[in-house]
Amino acid sequence: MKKMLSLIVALVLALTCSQALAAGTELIVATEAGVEDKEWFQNALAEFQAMHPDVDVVIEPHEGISARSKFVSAVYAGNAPDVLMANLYWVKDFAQNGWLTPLSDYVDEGYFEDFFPDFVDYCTVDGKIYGIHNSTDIATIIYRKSMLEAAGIEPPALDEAWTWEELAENAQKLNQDTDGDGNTDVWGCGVIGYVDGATTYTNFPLFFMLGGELIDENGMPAFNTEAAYGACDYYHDLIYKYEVAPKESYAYSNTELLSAFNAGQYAMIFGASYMVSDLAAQFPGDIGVMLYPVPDENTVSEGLSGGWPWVIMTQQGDEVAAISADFIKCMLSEEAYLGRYEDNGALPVRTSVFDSIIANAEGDEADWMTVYSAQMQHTNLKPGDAIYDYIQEEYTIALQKVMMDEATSQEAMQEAYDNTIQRATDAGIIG
Amino acid sequence: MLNAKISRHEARARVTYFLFVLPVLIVILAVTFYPAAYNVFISFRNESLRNSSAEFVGMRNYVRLFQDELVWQALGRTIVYLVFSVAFRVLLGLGLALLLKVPSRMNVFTRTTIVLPWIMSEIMASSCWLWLLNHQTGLINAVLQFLGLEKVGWLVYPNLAMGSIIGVSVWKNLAYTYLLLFAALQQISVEVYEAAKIDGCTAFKALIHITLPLIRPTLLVVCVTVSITAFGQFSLPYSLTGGGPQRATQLIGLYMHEQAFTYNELSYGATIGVLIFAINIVMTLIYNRVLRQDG
Repeated sequence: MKKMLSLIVALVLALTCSQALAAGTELIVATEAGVEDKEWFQNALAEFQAMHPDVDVVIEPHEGISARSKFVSAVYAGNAPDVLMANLYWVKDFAQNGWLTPLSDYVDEGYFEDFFPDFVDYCTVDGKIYGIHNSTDIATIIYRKSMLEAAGIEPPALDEAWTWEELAENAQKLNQDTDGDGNTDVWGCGVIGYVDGATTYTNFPLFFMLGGELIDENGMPAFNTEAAYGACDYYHDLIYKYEVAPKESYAYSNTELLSAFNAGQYAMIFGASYMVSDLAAQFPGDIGVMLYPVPDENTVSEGLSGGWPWVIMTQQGDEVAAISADFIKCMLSEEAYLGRYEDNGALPVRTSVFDSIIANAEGDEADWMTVYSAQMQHTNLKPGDAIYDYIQEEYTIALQKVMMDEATSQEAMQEAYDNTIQRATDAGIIG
Repeated sequence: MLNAKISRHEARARVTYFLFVLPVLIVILAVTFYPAAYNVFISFRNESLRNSSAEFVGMRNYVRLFQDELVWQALGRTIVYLVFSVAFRVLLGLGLALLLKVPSRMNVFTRTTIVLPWIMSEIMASSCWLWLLNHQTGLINAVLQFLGLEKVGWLVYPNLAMGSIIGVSVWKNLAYTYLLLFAALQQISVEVYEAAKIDGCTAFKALIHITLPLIRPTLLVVCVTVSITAFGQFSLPYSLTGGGPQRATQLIGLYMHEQAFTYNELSYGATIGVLIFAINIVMTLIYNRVLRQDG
């Protein structure tokens, strides 16, 4: 009789709890500000609401990359959002701290097969997949078709890349002194050296193609190698040997480079896919993209990607985690990716969506997407380790010195390496 | 008996005053004293947004502070910024106040022109200057090129970048020194100048022997308040150069922000904050002493 009674009590309790969850669950979703108003988001949300009509979704927009500390504080305060659109650098760090719930625990085994492997690998920590990118972008060379044509230069085929030397030599042909005063008015190839993430975004593909490694398996900085010297020296050569970029490039930011490109002062730039649609609006039919140049013909062109993965951050238990996973699946649906792409050109991370866009696109758009697709097969994502922030700053300062012709790449990188070790040790990140 | 009654009355009045002041006192304690005290508290811990295992670490952050070359470099740059920024703001503010004291039809226009940048937010002002000073497509370089001159790397060359930031800061904040000094000049009686003129005093001598001594207290207040705000300067280098190139414009406030919010080293950022706080206290003490001597 006692057993029976306990069983009934347990059953009633279980039913009551699940009813309460199903009827009154509030799903807190933190997204980058501005996303919540987009049509693709609203459609994906509607799809989720159809699956879970009793769940109230509360959208909390966040300010982007600077919001990291807010979410860490929220974890300690016990009020973290259930679903987070995280910056990619946060994923590994958050997962290792135990602040995320693996997405792979709540989806079918084959779910991740349709996604580009580099992105799945990036969000994998200790064999568990913690998230997938909402969208991405990729480093690419952007050029003005008319300028190349006027200089008699044939861009490489969409699935081929120039060598570093070919790019530099072609850039020389693109330099122009339009007013005949002996100074270059249109530069062959723009690069930047401003100390922020955009500089390493465009320089690191060169570093990776030379076999560079930023952090070794022990979590120690490993960038002070021939790969870094080569990547820095190439920028130095573009400025001083080939003279296809201004000497002041070391101080230029992306904003400055883009405004000069818009003003017709560059024929090619080391840029990113997210810049292309705006530039195409400025120069309709005149913007082309090509694969990142390779150090030699035997090397495969590699890119670099960024983006915002969706992750489960809930502290409300298994049931809410499962609901969170359903929400993320709706955000990662083919329709949602297509909607994002149509909205602002953000690249999908699903291979099937890429193929579908290429199949339906025409003209320039089809060409761009073919290049991106090829580049996405071999892309790199910046590591999410805490030491990476120091590496990025010190590497960029070293690159600046090389671009200013103030130090050799070996001297500059040695100093950057020593500073990184010192600063990371002082901060208690490394032993 | 009467004294006792007055005392009781006084005591009641004091309690009433205290009750009126209490809400403000609570707010000040909550938003100024508590954060400052907490800042000092966490400077003795290893609080970081990376982990939850913060503990008391004694003087470790202070030892690190004294060994951190970047702190002292940033402090040196801050002093350079402070000296030039304060000097230009005070001298130009005084010059304008003296000029605009002379009645003219242009005064209203000139005063408005000086005050307008002051009411703009610093971030908005620096965004405008970012475009004006842009090396490749900025308006200033376009004008220089139109005049047949070379482009100038206003925010590009390390030494010039600091000069540009000082220039923007002077442009932005000139109104403050101008308004205070102009108000001080208005307090000086015209008769003093007339008497001096009858005694054969030149305009320059009047400036040195009458104007400057009479506005000295205001001048001191201006110098100290401008120094304190200049010492904590953050937004202009943050938005104009990001502290570069080659850290040439990384002031101490910017370095503190970077440690606390880029590298998530809350305790170390707080330790740099304590250093800034201490320097500001020293500046205020010097100011109080000078003012007392002046009085």
